[in-house]
Amino acid sequence: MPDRAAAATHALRRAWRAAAWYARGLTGESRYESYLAHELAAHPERPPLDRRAFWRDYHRWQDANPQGRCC
Amino acid sequence: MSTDTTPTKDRELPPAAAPVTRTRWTPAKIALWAGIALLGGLAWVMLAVVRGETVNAIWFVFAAVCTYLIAYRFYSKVIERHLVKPDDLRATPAEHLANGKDYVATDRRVLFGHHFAAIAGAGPLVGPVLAAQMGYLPGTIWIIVGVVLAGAVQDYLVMFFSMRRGGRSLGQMARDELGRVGGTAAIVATLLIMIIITAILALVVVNALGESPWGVFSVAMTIPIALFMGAYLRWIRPGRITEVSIIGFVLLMAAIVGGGAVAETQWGQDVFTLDRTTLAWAIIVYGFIAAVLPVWVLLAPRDYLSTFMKIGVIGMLAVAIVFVRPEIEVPAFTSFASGVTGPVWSGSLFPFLFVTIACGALSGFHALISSGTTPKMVEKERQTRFIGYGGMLMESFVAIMALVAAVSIDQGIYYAMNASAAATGGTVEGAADFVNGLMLAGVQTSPEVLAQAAQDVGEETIVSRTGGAPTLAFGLAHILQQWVGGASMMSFWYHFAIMFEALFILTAVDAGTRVARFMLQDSIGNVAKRFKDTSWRLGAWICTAIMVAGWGAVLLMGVTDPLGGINTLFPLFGIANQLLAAIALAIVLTIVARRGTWRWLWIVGLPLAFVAVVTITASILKIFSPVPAVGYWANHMAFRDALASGEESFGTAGTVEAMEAVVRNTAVQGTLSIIFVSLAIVVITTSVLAVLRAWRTREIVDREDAPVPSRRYAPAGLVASKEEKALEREWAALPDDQQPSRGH
Repeated sequence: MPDRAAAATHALRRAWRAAAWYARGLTGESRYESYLAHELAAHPERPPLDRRAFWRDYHRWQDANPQGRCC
Repeated sequence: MSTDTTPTKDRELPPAAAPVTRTRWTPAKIALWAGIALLGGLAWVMLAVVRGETVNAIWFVFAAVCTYLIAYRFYSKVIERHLVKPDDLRATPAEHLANGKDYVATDRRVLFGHHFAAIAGAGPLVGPVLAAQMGYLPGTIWIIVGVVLAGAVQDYLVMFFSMRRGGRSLGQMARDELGRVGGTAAIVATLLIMIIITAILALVVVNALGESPWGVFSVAMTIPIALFMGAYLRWIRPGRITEVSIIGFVLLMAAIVGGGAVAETQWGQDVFTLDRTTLAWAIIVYGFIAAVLPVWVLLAPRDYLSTFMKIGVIGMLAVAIVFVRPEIEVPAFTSFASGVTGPVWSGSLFPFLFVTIACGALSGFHALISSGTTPKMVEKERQTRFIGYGGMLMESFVAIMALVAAVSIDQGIYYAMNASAAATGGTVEGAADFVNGLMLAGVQTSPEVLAQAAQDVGEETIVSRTGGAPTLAFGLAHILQQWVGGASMMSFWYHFAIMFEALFILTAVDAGTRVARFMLQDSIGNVAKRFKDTSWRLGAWICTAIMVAGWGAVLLMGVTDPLGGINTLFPLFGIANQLLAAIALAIVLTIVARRGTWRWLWIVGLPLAFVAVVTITASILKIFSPVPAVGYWANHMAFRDALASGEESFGTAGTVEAMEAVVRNTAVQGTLSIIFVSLAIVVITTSVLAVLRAWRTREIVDREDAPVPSRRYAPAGLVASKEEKALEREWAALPDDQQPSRGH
């Protein structure tokens, strides 16, 4: 029995993690993490922006590069 | 196409592309696809041939889903293999131009969601509702067949070719492929079309909120909610978008519930009962402010809410339709299918059905999203089939569900809600007389029924709530209450649906104004250099004001139109959208011809020819038809003559001012029709000439970016095959410093 319970918890935890991963991707929350990964890979010589500074910078960039929404 | 993409394999990395293998047709696989084909065929027979007394909604779901599966599995693969020819050994712009901002390689499943949220809006919900006046069958066939052969093809090809060009926009591709004249015509047409589309979307919201204190209160509350979310993300917990979206969603539900309470109080009714003209002005002012404010204040947070609502509501409706399986109230064809003067919109089935339902079957606006934004995030070339073709199939399914919602409500209520106020007089008695006077078999209503229906959804009245959104909300509430909550929840679900539509229409309005403002600055910048600088505050304000004035004027015209607004303007919306599709397909046709893919050119030529014939015929009818209900100029002349002969009321216009308004409006609409169709003809002709030249010279013109070898791998479709999984494992086994960075 404990085996089965453990397997069920494990499956639930996996499902939760998958849902959270998808939600973060869809809303764009994970943008910062991908920025960090990009900076680490492409520009290891400079310190990356922190989360707050990154989002300020990103919104500034969005102001200058609007993206349409469809009808 | 460039042919020098020699597979440059890095010695230390696994291959960047899975071998393309022919499917082995095992008996199980054959049985599965035969089963899908049989079920789909049965569903089509039930809808089109049997059409008993009543048809169950579940057949719509089967017909749609089975057709989509077959089209995706077979037709889109033919397009991929013979026309697109993606190459996973080539790096996508997201890989070789990676910048951590817009060029970010994104997991295909996440990007599918992103792309879907960006393309699906109010269009696929509103069009099918209006098309229901011809019966359920014409709309169903066009939505499903249209998406397979036209809409999804356009989205897929535009996305792929834009991706091969570093994510260039449709306008830039038009200039590259069609030269100065064709390119300029395409850009001017796009700008005008954006004005029209924004105006008509705003008109849909105004019609849904007019004289509805509940709706006005809850939609107005989205502004403080979005401001709060923006502040939260800026100062309290930067970047925690999921968290703030959940908080925002809870507040939104509270605003809907609260709206019901507020609308019951005297002060609530006094403050929030607004007539349509006031609301139109409110949206114009709002649209200007939202478009000049920084995005983090209002636009970005409201976009998060709208994405949440969109995916949530659509998912819920799909589940509800499967659980409730409503019976359809509409015949396959109504008598309006063979006439030209339906009460919801006028015009014959061909060509007007095909412009009334644009989004969901074929939407030119998608070409603007499929070029630019999404292609910069695609991780591997082969994924464009899933994201582009597959994403559009999803939108088509949304349109089918909207159609089901519209055809499962009582027909008397449907016509009472969608006939213009000029026809019903805006009263339940007038509406009942009008509907009963239509003499439709099995369609009967009474003032009591209409008054009760309004009370059920917590509104003063449901008569002449044109624009499609209220009808859809009514249908959605009708289905959802059978699943959750029963009749007492009807009013909540109605306002929930109105909120959901208003949210993403308003997002589309300010995002559209912003995008159009940048396009306008770019165009004016060719003459007055200063305008090219988009950070120049005054220039930005001037161009925003011009765009808002453009759509605002059309919106006010629609709101005050004595002929009803939606029924005269909606065809213009559809024609504009489909002309944009024709322009996008013309650009794609040129590209495909110049790649030398002559044998499969018909894949693009077929939808282009169809949409060109539809939109040009529709435009010509709108310009030249002698029937006043159809032709703008015929109506214009009829009202002018009436005024000239000193009459003081004519048709549905009761005063001289109203008659003058009709004369003005029809002139504007007629002129716009002429401009649209001329621009589209210029673009299509330029493209056909380019294709003929390519045929004569057999010259390959290649404007793609130089190929860069890819150093990453991801499967192509939603579910990875066995070979793809094995390759993924090989890549996953690499040490950390050799792993490609993946966004999201």
